[in-house]
Amino acid sequence: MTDTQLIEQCLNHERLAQKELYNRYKTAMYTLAYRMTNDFGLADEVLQDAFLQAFRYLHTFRQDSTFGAWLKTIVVRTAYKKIKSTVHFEDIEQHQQEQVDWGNHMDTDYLEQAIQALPTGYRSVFVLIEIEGYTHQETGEILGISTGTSKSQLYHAKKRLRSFLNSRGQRAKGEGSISSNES
Amino acid sequence: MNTELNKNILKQAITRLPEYQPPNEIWAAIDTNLDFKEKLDALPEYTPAVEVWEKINHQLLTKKTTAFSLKKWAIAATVLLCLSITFWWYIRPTTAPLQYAIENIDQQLFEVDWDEDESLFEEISAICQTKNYSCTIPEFQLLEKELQELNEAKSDLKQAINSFGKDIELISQLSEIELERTAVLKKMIATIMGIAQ
Repeated sequence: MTDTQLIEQCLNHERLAQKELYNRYKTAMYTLAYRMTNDFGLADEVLQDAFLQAFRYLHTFRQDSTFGAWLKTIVVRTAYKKIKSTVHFEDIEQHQQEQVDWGNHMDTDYLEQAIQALPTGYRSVFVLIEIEGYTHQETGEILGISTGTSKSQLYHAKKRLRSFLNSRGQRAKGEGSISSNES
Repeated sequence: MNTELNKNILKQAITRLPEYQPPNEIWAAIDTNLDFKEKLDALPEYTPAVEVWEKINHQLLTKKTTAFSLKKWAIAATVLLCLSITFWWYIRPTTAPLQYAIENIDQQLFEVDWDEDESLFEEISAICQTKNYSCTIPEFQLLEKELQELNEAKSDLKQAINSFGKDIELISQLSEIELERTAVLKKMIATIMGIAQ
């Protein structure tokens, strides 16, 4: 069954169709909620609130975009409301930008840890642009910041990630070498 | 200048990032909320008794009647007020502009000697005392009687002038009496002279 068919049934308040729609998008939306909030408890709340809003205002969905994109916007906005009080964006000067070199290999677990370790502002921009594919303009509109601020936040988020990954990589090598000596 | 090298490495790593499964309780909570919302929407509606509308309708009519009465009274009061103003306008005491006249009094009247001609009257009297025939005829006696009345009037006026001062009205009357006396005197002289001729 397509999303459109499911949506039609959801508009008739058919619970099974609602559950099916939930199941289709719950993982992607929950992951997004967690990456934005960095807190599973908040992610639970975000997911619940976002789906309830989606079902309540489903009649306003004009199908100009996919249902997933429409729902993702709701999740992002709901998540940002939860973390907004902890975010403080600052314009950071970028006169002499250093190059960020991602190397030839990246450990995914380290990257996940690095993302979780980012300050909320950096993390929000990085998640929205690099993971979810929003533009700087869209990100600026969602977060209420300028495009320039979005760009500078992303640049410094990447620098911080690279730095984190470098330190984690060196520590892992050290631990590895230590653990191999012990064995 | 490109600020990133080997960005594809980052992009590949991002595609491998883990996904997270929400707890089952979340759907249960959503289900409960949706169910509650549906129950709220499905709450029964109750139709009021017919009498309720009848009461409302009655009150609306009462209010309408009251409103109409008030309007009617207001119009009546306005008409009455207009009529009253119109009536008052026509019967109001006309405040005609103050009229006055300045009477220029000949100051010489105040200075006249009203007894200046008394010597003539005394001469006529002296003639009649000589048993002049003219004085016995009825016309002369009428003139004599008229003169006597004028003399008495003159005497009263002179007394009033002495009591109240030289009032213009009194002076005018005195002047008229004097003219009449003079006219009577002329007639008396004419009578004596005519008969004598």
